[in-house]
Amino acid sequence: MAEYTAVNLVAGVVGMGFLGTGYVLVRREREALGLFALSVVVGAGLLFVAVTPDSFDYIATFLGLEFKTHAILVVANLVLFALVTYLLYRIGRLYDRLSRLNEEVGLLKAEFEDGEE
Amino acid sequence: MRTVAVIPAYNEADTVGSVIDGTAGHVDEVVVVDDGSTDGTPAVARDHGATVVEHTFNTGVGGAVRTGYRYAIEHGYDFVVQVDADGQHGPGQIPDLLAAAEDCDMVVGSRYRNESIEEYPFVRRAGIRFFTGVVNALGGVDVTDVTSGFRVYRVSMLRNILHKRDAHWAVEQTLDAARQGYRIREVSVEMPTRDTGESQFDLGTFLLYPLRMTDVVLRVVLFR
Repeated sequence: MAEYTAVNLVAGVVGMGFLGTGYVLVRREREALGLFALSVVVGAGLLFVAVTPDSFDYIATFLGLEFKTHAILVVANLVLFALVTYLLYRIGRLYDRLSRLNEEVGLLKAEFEDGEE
Repeated sequence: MRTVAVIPAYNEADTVGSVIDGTAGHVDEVVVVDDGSTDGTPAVARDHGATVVEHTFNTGVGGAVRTGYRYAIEHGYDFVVQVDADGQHGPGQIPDLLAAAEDCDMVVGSRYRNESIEEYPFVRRAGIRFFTGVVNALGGVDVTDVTSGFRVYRVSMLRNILHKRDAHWAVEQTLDAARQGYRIREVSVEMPTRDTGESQFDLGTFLLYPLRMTDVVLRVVLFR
């Protein structure tokens, strides 16, 4: 029988946090559905880890790793990689949009001033 | 033939006025794209008779020149002359660039076709040479100064090569134009290093230069 520890509790709280934040951001129209999907994947993964303390044993066996700590390391790295890639993509896109907006505002202001004269 | 001069400017209140005065006689309109200056550059530019397009915040010279290009496209100009606001580009050489543009699509004012390049630091010269070599090899052209900002563009071409990135637009545009088969020429221009104001080429730019350049080259070669 696997034992529940503080790690499971933290995983559960963080998982719920991910799900809740993703839901709230989409509900307030501040983010696209893609972010909610990402929150569901990460949040559900953390909740799964929270309720099944042996989960990393299964993952280690599945991946052919000797220790579950290795499985934790592999999964954590993969999740981090996915998150960082997604966030870099988002930052790049937002920067591009901001730059175009800056350009558009400048041109419109010039046109407006030209019309006033 | 209608020509507009685009002058991207960021905190160049000391020099932009004389650049406008020198440029105005060679073109139909002078447009200063102010990239979020805090030193009163837009007011100086207006006093000297330029049309001013003001960015709400600073995006870098690439964003400023793209705004200028869009102005040229939307106002139906035939040619764009691009001139730096810091006084490094002598407006007296604009007629030479415009004359060369009559039978080509892009004219680049080159520091390498005269002695003025020797005033630049060795590392910067080496960087320019290296990336010029990369653009020549990948674009099948023979230019000597790919990072020069003193240029003339035919607007009909500009519509197809509007750069996407705010950093290192010159390399992106030149490589893109070369790969699309546009005619590119160079004209020898004297371009002394700036003696007033603050150079945009700081330590951060220097350290990120190779990475950003590589990013731009890969984007054009692999994704367009």
